[in-house]
Amino acid sequence: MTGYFELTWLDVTISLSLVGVLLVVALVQRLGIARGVFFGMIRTFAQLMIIGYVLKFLFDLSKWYWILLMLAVMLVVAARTAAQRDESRQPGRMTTAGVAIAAGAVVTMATVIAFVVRIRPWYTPEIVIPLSGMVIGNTMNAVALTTTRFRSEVSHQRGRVEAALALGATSSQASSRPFREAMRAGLIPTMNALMVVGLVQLPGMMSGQIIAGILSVQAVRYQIVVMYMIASGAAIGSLVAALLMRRQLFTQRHQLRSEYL
Amino acid sequence: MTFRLLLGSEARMGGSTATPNGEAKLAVEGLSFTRSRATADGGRSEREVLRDVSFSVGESEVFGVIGPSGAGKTTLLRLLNGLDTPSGGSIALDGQDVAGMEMTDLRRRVGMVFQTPALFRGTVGTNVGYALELDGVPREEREGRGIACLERAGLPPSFWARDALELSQGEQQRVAFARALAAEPEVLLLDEPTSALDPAAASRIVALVGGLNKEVGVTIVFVTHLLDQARQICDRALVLIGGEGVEEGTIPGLFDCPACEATRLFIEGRLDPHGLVGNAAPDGPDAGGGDR
Ligand SMILES: Nc1ncnc2c1ncn2[C@@H]1O[C@H](COP(=O)(O)OP(=O)(O)OP(=O)(O)O)[C@@H](O)[C@H]1O
Ligand SMILES: [Mg+2]
Repeated sequence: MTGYFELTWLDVTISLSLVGVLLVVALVQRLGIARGVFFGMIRTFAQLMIIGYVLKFLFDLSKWYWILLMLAVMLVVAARTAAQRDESRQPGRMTTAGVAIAAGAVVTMATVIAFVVRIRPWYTPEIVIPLSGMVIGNTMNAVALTTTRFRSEVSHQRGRVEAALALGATSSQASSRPFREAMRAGLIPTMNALMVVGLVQLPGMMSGQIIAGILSVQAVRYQIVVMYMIASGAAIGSLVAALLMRRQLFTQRHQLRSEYL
Repeated sequence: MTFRLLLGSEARMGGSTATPNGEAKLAVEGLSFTRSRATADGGRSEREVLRDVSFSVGESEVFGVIGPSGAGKTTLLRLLNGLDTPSGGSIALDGQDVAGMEMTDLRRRVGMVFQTPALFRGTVGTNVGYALELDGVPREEREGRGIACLERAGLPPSFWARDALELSQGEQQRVAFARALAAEPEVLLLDEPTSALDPAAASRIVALVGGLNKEVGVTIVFVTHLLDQARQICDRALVLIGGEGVEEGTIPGLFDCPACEATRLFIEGRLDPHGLVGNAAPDGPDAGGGDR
């Protein structure tokens, strides 16, 4: 392959020294994250190795139920990650995150599969897995930001929210400002990504092809579609997350459940 | 300032003084409230904040709720406004149990002004206009009606366009009054509306409350731990100590010859800080001074 700069395992081992820098900084500055850095280092290695084999296995089998199982696992991990960032005592946080991420990802993926890439069969893993991964990952961030921001806004604005309720506002009316702030917070990273894509950071899909020396107009087209996909996933995920949060933070009788703040 | 104080006491004498005859505006029966909280270990902890509180408030009356800090006064008002649901007992408005009422309607009929004003960001107009909007007042009528509410609360029309959060505490509290009045409530719940104010601003607010009751006829439930304030404007009062209503009575009488030992200790400023009936405090009783 011309222009393809191969990496050996030795090269990968040398790159370990980069994480070593982080480990040393963490230890010297006593950041208390050395353990995390160590395990993160190992996990990166292990996860990518394993996923490489899993993907190869899936691509070879190409059975719809294996693909769906893989997507389900991705979703559960994303829901867990999003829920963990929300440090409240509210039960059902993971379900909320899971439903919101799934809503964003499923609607977006279904649209893309049906109308944009029009692949046969619909579960063609080479397309479905990477695109879903990107949508789920980005929607996860949007959902996590939306839920944590909603809760912290309501908590900080509690006096105003209850003042509005006391005047006879419904819980939707009383929390309209936190609702908007939360959705805005959830969507700003995606908005920024749309603005600067290609100018600062080259998206992964294109980087991979550039390094492999096969950058094509196809990759550029796919990247544009991906950018629009993550925007749609984030928008739907953030909206669903905000709606679910509002239902959980208030009772049917328009009372704030302050024990969850 | 003197004339305002005078207006305050005048309002008290002008108000109805008799116990509510026939149907009460607000009738509270055996009200209790248990606060339950999720604990860090996933369990729940429960604490009874109000126990078996009963009282009734007559139409157009100024009814005081007095008691030391932590007695449950704020909690009681929150239940009356529907911000929390009682764990037991009942609240009736004009003889109708509020449990069956649409919450938003109840809250428009029973308004509340909080201990701190909690104004919305924006202008004074945004704040007062919000209440009018909830009431379905068309946009073009809001400013006119809102300014009338401001004037009721003792603020000039020029305040309409001012930034709400730049106002002084006393002015903000007046805006909170105007905002609550805009919904034209039948009952107004006031939670220590003067607690953040200096004495002069406080007595102007007290005078304002007396005036409102007199001019608009709105029924007022006035929470305070200051006996002087209760004396100035309340017709009757409930003494709430440690989550229990220990005594209900007409105002000078309740203070001059309390029937209950706890009330007497509270009035004399000798109630121990935990709201329990304790031994006499080491330093002498402070006339009219409640708890700290
Ligand atoms: N959000 C809360 N969580 C837990 N306990 C609370 C909460 N709010 C009030 N309490 C407790 O309930 C009891 C009654 O509180 P409440 O605020 O009703 O007292 P209060 O009579 O209004 O006091 P103050 O005069 O200081 O305003 C207190 O013991 C208080 O610690
Ligand atoms: Mg209070």
